[in-house]
Order: sequence, then structure tokens, then C-alpha cells
Amino acid sequence: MLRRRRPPVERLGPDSFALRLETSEREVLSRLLEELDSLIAGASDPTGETAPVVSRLFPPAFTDHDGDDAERDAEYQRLMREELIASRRAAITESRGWLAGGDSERVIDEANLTAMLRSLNSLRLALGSLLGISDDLDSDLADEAVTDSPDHQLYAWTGWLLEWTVTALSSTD
Amino acid sequence: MTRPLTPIAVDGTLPLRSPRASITEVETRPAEEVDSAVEEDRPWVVIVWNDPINLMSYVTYVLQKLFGYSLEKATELMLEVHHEGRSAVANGSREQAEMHVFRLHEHGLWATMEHDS
Repeated sequence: MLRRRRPPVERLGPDSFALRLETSEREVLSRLLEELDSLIAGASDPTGETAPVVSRLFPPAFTDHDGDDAERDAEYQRLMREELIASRRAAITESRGWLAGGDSERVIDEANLTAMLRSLNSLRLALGSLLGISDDLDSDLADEAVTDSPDHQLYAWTGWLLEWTVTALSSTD
Repeated sequence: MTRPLTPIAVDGTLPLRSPRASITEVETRPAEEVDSAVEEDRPWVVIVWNDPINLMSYVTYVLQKLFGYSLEKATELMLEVHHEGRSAVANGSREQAEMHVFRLHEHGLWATMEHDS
């Protein structure tokens, strides 16, 4: 792990944030987001099979599938799935734009950082699904990166970066 | 997103089959359709469910951002999700609830809606 002197995400002003990531971190994150984007793009048919790794990104809106909820949820998914996919993909595209280039520090606004926040959380949900995390203990162990597995390391890293991002967005100028 | 079941005219009059229709020809809806409309009009409540992957700080932040809750209120709801498995975070009409659910889904939270009991 790199020794850092400054936070990876930090508020600079009312609508200004510093995003500080090393080249290797930006490359890995951008590549993972590109893969996630492909998986999300392939989930456009709500009646079809959604890849298990992204199933958490498309939860049902109604849960009582024995009653009228099955019909309500089918209607919701039919009307909203494409919009949800477009929203997620737009956030990923924007985030990858900020990760491109050679600058280890980028200054971005709150809308940009919110897109990054949502993309990071989508990625973490996908990685968590990949790792089969189903309860808080699983998640805690994965966050502590108790194994040398690259997937566990990535999961812990996204949690670390998310935590900093939330801290920056929640901080006052 | 729900379709209005009765196309009421802008002046509030009930729809008639023809301009010369008598009062007995006013369009009526089957009883089950009326029951369904009443059912849909009942308030809906938006539920956030526990997901072990989402960070507690993240859930708190999203609840603050989407609903304008104070840090204390958002933290209270987040802790209810964490300890009880679910929390009612908002309520309203079906359209309002669907919009809340969509925005929560956009942010990766597991949200559903159900009738307020």
C-alpha cells in the first residue's frame, strides 16, 4: 500500500474537491469500471437473465411476488430498467473521464464526485456479489482483506476509497 | 407511471359515450376496477433493506442527500436498517414512492415499496 500524505479525496471549497489517485490505481479502477459498464449494458431485458454479478444493481421494487406485486414489479422493471441502466452508465462514463489522463490530482466539482461515488458503490456491489458476501461478517472480513486474494484486496480498496469520498462530500467547507 | 383509470374532462365532468347520451349512459367502471383504484390510492411506504455490502456511512449520506434528512435522522434510519434489517424511510403516493425507489436504486440501495399498513 502506498504511503499517503494527503487524503485521496478532499474538499477544497464549496463545490470543489481534489481526487488524488496514483496512476496504477486510476488504471485499475478505470478498467474495472469498463468491465462493469459492459455487464450493466447487457442487463437491459428485465425478463431475461441478469448476470449474477450485477443482480444487486437491479433489485425488485415490489417484493410480494405472490400477490399483485409480481405484476407491479414487472411493470416497474419494464418502464424503469432502461433509465436505471442509462443513469449508471452515464455515471461510469463520467468517472472514467476523470480517471483518464496523467494527473495524479484532479480537481472536480460535487456532481463529478457524486458520479464517482455512485460508480464506486456499483463496483463494490458487483465485487461483493462476486465474492459471495451475504452477511455483515463476510463483508467485515473482506473489508479487512484477510486473504491475499486480489478480489478481496479490490473489495477492501473500493470500501476505503468510498469512505473517503463520503467523508469529503459530508464535510463542510 | 400509473395510468388514470377515468379520463375526466378538464372541466371535471364525467365522460359520456356521446354528446347526446343520457345520464344512464354515463360510463361506469366494474366494481373490481374501482376497488383496484382505491387500493392504489392508499399511501405507500418506501423501505430500505439491509445489504451487507453498502457502507453505513454511505447509506447515511444517501438518505441525507435524497430526502434532506439531518445527520441524526439519517443515522437513526441507517441503524434501523442495520439492526432490524429494514426501515421505512419515506411515504407518499404511488408515483412519489416509485420515484424514491428509483433514486435509491440509482444509488445502489436495496429499496422496495409497499402499502402503508
